[in-house]
Amino acid sequence: MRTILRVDRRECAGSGLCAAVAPELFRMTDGGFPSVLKSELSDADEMAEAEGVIACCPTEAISFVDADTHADPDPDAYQHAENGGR
Amino acid sequence: MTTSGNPPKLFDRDYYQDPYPAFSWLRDNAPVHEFTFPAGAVTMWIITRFDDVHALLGDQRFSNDAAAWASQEFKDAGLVYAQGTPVERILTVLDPPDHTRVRRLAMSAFTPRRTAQWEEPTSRIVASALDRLEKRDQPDVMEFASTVPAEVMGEIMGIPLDRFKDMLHAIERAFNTDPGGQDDVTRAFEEIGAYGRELVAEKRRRPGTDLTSSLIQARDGDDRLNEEELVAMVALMIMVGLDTTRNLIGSAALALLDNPDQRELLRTRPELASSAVEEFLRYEGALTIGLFRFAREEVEIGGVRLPAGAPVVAALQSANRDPRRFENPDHLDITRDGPRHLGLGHGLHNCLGAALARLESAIAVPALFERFPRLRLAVPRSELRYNETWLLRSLTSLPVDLHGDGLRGDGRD
Repeated sequence: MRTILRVDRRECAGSGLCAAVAPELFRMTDGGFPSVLKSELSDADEMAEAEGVIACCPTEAISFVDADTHADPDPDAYQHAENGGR
Repeated sequence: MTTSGNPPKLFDRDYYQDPYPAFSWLRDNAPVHEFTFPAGAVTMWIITRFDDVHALLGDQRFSNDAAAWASQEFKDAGLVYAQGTPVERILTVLDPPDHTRVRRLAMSAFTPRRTAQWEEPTSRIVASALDRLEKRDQPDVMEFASTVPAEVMGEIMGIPLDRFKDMLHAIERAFNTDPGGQDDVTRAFEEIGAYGRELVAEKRRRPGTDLTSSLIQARDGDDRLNEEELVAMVALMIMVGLDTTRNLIGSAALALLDNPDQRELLRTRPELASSAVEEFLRYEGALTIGLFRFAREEVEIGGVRLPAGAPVVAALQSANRDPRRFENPDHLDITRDGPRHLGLGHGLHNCLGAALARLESAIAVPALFERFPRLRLAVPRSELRYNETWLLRSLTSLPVDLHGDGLRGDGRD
């Protein structure tokens, strides 16, 4: 199974913890929510780092999901929304 | 807008009672302001605008770990928190990867999902605390406000926190700025740490399904935590679980007493409880400022150069009242649905117990006014005082007349 790292916007409260813990994986956007910089991870250290962030997220908004069943019809939709439609 | 004059005094008597005029002046005239902290006469910088505070809290060029990064002057002044006591390595001062390892052990107990299970116990505890408040000769909302989080935390930790009043007193002493009082600061941290040790020992004898037992398991079973970290974590839960929510509930009650229209609105529209809590967190959050941050390297903020080691104060309540961010910021509006506040911090050290604090306040504050619809102050408003701690925004007491039958006959009004 191929997994991807994802932030669920409905759960995210914009605490900024993910970007603070793992700036190479997450970046806070101007809208106050994170965007995932790297969603397909293969490196063991990066996987461990992501697991740490998933466990520490205050709203359980971050997870690894099956890339096939959770395929986003528009992978950029999240980013667009966060940029306030600009 | 004030555009002239001398910088206001910080951390003096007037500031503690009302820091907002000082914050307003700083935001307008010196948003990154160098000043001298009274305890130890240490050079620091205070950041007061929302955007700057928000950026600072998410900036990994800053650390909370004074032992590793603070200026020599700060260390020499003995200001490194709890140095030499069992609580010196609390989660709050750790950087990744230690921060991640320790925080994840406790985070699972405080997610919104897990916290929802405490709704019924919290309602029960609030109802019983209101019964006790009603029996008081001189009812004090701050006593109610301290009982609720102490009892809820007791259930989560699996141990009745019988000594919570001693602990609240110790917390107040731990954050005072009296230049001669630093020995007592250390003693206060030692008392909190010793209580943490006691609770761990007690729980090792009688393990359960509570948070303390799961932290002990992480230490004794899985070796994911060392003994000092275990004790520090239990002590931290006592510190942050008791005092902050007490402050929030107390300040929220006062805010509603000060704003009868908002009080009436919450009474007629109880579904506003959640948005009201967000507004309480913004309007008068539990912490006046954040714990000190330290620049790991030379950093420039708003045109001001901070040397490596610079202690920096993130003025949370100033950010929450910044008119550049919030419309009419000094006005309490429980229907506000605009931008997020910093009442629970931001970034790496954002509040671990946020969901619990929200739950407790959303139950306790409306319940107080529902039980006592005629509640009013029992002393003149001008007699209310805030504790003189640099960290916390806590009323010393909030004496009330539960049934609005008039001021007590002590001739004070």
